[in-house]
Amino acid sequence: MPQVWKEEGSATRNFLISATVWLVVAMFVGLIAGLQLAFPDILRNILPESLRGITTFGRLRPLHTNGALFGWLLMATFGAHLYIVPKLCRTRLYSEPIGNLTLVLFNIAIVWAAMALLAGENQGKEYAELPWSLDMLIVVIFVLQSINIFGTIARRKDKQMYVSLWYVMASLLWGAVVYVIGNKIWDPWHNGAYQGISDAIATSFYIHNAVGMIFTPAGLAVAYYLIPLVAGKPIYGHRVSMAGFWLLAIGYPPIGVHHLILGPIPYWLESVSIAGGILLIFAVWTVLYNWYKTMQAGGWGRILTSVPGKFLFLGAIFYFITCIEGPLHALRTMQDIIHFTYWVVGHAHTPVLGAFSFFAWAFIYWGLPRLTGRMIYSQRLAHWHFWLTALGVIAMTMALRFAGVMQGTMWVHGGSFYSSIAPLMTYNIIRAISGAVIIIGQVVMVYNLYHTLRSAKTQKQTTTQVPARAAG
Amino acid sequence: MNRLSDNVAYLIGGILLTILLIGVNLTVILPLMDESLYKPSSRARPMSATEEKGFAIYKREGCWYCHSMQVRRTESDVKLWAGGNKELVSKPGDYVYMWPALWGTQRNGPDLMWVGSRGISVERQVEHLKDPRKFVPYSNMPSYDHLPEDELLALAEFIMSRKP
Repeated sequence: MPQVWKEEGSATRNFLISATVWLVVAMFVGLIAGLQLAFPDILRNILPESLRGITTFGRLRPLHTNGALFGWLLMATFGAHLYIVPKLCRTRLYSEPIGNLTLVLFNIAIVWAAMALLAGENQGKEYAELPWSLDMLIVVIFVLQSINIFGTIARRKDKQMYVSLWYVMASLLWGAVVYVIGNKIWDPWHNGAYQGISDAIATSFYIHNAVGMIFTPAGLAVAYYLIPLVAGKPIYGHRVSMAGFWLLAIGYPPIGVHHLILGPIPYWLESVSIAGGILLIFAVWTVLYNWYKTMQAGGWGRILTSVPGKFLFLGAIFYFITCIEGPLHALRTMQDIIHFTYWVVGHAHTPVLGAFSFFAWAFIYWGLPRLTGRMIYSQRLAHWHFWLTALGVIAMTMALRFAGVMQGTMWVHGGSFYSSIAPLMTYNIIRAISGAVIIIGQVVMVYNLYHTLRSAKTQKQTTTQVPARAAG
Repeated sequence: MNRLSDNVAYLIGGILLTILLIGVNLTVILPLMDESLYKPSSRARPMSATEEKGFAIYKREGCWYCHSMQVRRTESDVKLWAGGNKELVSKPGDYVYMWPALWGTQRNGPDLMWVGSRGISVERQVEHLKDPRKFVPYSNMPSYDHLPEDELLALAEFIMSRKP
């Protein structure tokens, strides 16, 4: 086996580089799809006839969502976990070659998925569009990653299980259950579909929990690892960490069905999802309180002047916003107005593009220097990346929320549905502009990282920094 | 120091228990055991071969990202999508012949649950699919004039078959 496959830290580094590439691709696809909502004929005059069929909104949307969620966010957090877990266990990664193999298969899956989606392979299920054969490949990726993570944990030198480790394990185990149910992977004959409305119920379990029980714990693991290190203080409370984790474990699983509130499902099922949502407020505030006190102990000056600290701080605020908003959405009165509107699109971007991507970027700026022994090429550009992304995300999600409120109230009080379309133009243009600003931010990051990786080594590789957990 | 939170086996057990019990069991398996979800309603009809073909195209082109097929029991839904008739609020039994039910999550365009009863002919729907802005000036639907005629026809047949 070539030496590059075995080099310590190579898997994480390669994961982060690959994920960054998919991030830019997925964002660009999102921009083109979003532009078409404002200017539906924009590509007609540019593209040849043969390409028009694969660039409609309906073909590009799943490419954007799957690319951003799996290609960028899952890949980046998987990579981060391969670094965090060995550090917290005070041992080496179980197998660096398995890590690199996971990434090779992951990249094959993303390229294959992109081609399948462009070709119109679509099962008609959100985030579960991909055909059964690809689901199988994703299962293999999950299994390989699990072998690496659990193998490392089994060989740990430190008997303490720091809170990040719980979340890493949870994202894999919850992820497995959620993915199996959502894609109905035991049934290759029905394209992942259950019969009739039962499919809507199973799918709503999947689409919400894909975010809540895969990306949320995966992202929280990264934040819980970095916040004490950036603050230079142990995590505020061990029991608070436990409470936050188990409240999430109890509150999150049932809330998916809130996508169908007021729809054709049993009334009690709606109520269960609302109750879970309310519980989630406590779960999230517990976690945020823990982070807040840890950051406070470290000193705000220290947090807000470092690049990873900035990303973590704003990411936590996005997490706060999205997790107040979510439970409120689930209430029937809110759902009446904002369901089916752009508001939900704004809300959906806030956790995955706001919170968890910000944690992933924090890890990139924290981890790459330690993995490669190279200083970040330009701190100035890293701050530019932060500000462009922050402004873009805020402008985009707020524009979508305003558009959503307008849509929802016009449907309740207005005349025909069609009269609500034209006024959306302004918001769709703001959305496109802010999307472009976000992409410019990512290009700045890519430029910065490229020069970082090309520069000469200046410091010793991989220091052994581990956050301490507070007693009690 | 031997704490419960440091015991990996307990952690794995707890993690799996919560999702299986509260998630899968309560919100997937239990409702799916409800037989009324599978009993066809009075207005549910199996799709014809052409409609099946159209349904496949509807899925393939991602029409369902922008069009819901779900009249909720809210006032505005009944007003806009059921002509004020509460009988036409969607019921679980309406979807039994659809694998999967394309209930939709967004309305960039109109709801299509009962679009077939809005007095538009299949031929006119084909024209609309080819050039939406000829009919609705502000429409932001893509033009589907790149699809072959037989696919457009099947798609239009499926869409217009959505009626009580």
